[in-house]
Amino acid sequence: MAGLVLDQVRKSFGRTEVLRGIDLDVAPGEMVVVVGASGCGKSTLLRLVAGLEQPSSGRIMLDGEDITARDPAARDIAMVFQHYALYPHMSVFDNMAYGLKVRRLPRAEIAARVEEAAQMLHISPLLGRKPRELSGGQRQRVAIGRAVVRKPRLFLFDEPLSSLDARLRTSMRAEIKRLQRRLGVTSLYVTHDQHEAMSLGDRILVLNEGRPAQLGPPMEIYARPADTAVAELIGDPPMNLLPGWLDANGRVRLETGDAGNGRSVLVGIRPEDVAGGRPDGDGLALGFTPDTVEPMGAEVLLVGRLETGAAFSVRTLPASFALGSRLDFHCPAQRLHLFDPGSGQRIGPAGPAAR
Amino acid sequence: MTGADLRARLRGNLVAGNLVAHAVLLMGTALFLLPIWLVFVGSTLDSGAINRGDIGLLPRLEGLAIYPRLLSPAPGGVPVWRMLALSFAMALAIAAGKIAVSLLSAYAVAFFRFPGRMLCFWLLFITLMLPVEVRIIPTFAVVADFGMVNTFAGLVLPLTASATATLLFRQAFVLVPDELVEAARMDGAGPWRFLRDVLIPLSRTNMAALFVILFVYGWNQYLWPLVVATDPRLDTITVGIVRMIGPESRTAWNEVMATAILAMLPPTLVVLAMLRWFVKGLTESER
Ligand SMILES: Nc1ncnc2c1ncn2[C@@H]1O[C@H](COP(=O)(O)OP(=O)(O)OP(=O)(O)O)[C@@H](O)[C@H]1O
Ligand SMILES: [Mg+2]
Repeated sequence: MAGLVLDQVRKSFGRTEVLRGIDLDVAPGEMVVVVGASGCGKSTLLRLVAGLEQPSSGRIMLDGEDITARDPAARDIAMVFQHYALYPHMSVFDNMAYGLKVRRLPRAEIAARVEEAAQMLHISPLLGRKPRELSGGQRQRVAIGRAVVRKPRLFLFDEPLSSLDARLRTSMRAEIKRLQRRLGVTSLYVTHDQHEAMSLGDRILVLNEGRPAQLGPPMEIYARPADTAVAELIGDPPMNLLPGWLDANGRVRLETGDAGNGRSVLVGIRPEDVAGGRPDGDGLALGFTPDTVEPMGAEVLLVGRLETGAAFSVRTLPASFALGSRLDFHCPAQRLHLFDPGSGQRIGPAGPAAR
Repeated sequence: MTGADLRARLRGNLVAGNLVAHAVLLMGTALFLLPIWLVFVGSTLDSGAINRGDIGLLPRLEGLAIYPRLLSPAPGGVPVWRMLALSFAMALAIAAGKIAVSLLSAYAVAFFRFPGRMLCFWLLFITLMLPVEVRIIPTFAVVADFGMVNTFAGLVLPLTASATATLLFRQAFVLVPDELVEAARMDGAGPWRFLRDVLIPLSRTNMAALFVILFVYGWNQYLWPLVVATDPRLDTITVGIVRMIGPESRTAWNEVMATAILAMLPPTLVVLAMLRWFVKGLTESER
């Protein structure tokens, strides 16, 4: 009933502690995406679940069974690797069938499963080819097919799209999501691409240096990042983080050099939450001098400095901006994010719930 | 100078370069082939002519009859076919044994973490400096203790370990991506299945190339068979040729030379048959 449960999972390689206590509960049929900077332990986490590494402590449960000490082959888990990891000397058919052959499934059953998966992934015409005769996208489909035919209890994906070009990545992303929905297999998906994480995950687990920084639905993580690391990781372009003060009346001021009064905070402002003109009511006024314009298609990104001297960026509709001269912008109070400058933890405001 | 002129000149240079290269290749080939040709010519003469040093460049056609005579197991004739068969079996067994042993030891060293792994690796490495010729007395003692003197096994077994082949396989194995190993583990393949279904098929070209080299190595063994097999029924062709050379005047030099020609054929055929695989194994990898 319980899907995948990680209970205080830790992993050290020698002296270096890579995972520092991961708790996670993936519901049956759910897709959780693990996202984090390079080297934060995403692959390690996946390899622990796969059984390719042993955790230093903690437990891993799948459907209520403790599988922590089980051999990878006995876990009923299939994995899609970053570089496909297809057997170079086997045909596409044999690549997909191999795991089933090892498990001694009847020949007819193997053929039926491979053909069904091939149809699902649109690779039926390629079944007789060798991996080296396929494009990157086709290889990744085969690798996914190899996982699908196993009909496992859990799918693991380790950055499966990172060696594809941007366009293919977007379409494969949608396809993986459809496939996972259709098969209803519990999945753990690792990526360092926030767009992939946002679009694929039912929930996202943000890892920061081996610690879980935040776990929640994509829009909640976007709307209420739990700390500065999450704030910088999720959102494109990244959130502006500016030193400031929170005064006794609950008003936010940016630091201007002269000592402020009240509590020192980090003010987070998403580039897309900034609007032109002076604030009405309790918004935060931003005197901004853009020095470059980066076209982004429907919108442009203005990059420059605030009056306070801090680097800042604004995402807005295209217009002719006078580069180098001061412009008035503002951010509505309910769009501000406040973080503790010491710990980086979110201190409020409650902020908008999912938008 | 116009582009066309330049191109013509370059083409001229290319042609000239090709001519020089071909001349060098032809000279090299002639240098290799001439002695063999002389042996062939000698095999068709009568032994007296050779003793007089009376060898021309053309074979005596009626002398070719010596080949069927040598190969027929007629009484009184030299059992050349027998020695050829024995050498063939020995070379085959040595090549196959070396490949099997080194494949397994390379597999162990490359894929398994066990205490003393690096020690094993270095021990293997050091044996590169200990060919049979160096360790012939202790090796003979061991073989004698096992009661394998004058047996086929005694002929073959001490030659079946190969540090070179082990190192070659190891190099090929460490290039196998970790992800592939892990994919096989997830697919449920244990160590033996992984070896059989993935590593061996991936090393096929390497194995073919090694087989050629090791077969020729086995075929050319002389000292060890001479020492370990005193029974004439275990004479390899290399040993047999030398036995045929008696006191100067009584040696049938034409027979010796004809046997030498016959002895060259099997390894040549093996090389020719495997040439395509051999080149493939040395130049490309399946990965
Ligand atoms: N077998 C190992 N031995 C020692 N250290 C390791 C081992 N595997 C991983 N590490 C270390 O653990 C840390 C996390 O590695 P991991 O591969 O999990 O990162 P990642 O989040 O997947 O990064 P990337 O996005 O670059 O793939 C790294 O600092 C890495 O050096
Ligand atoms: Mg990784």
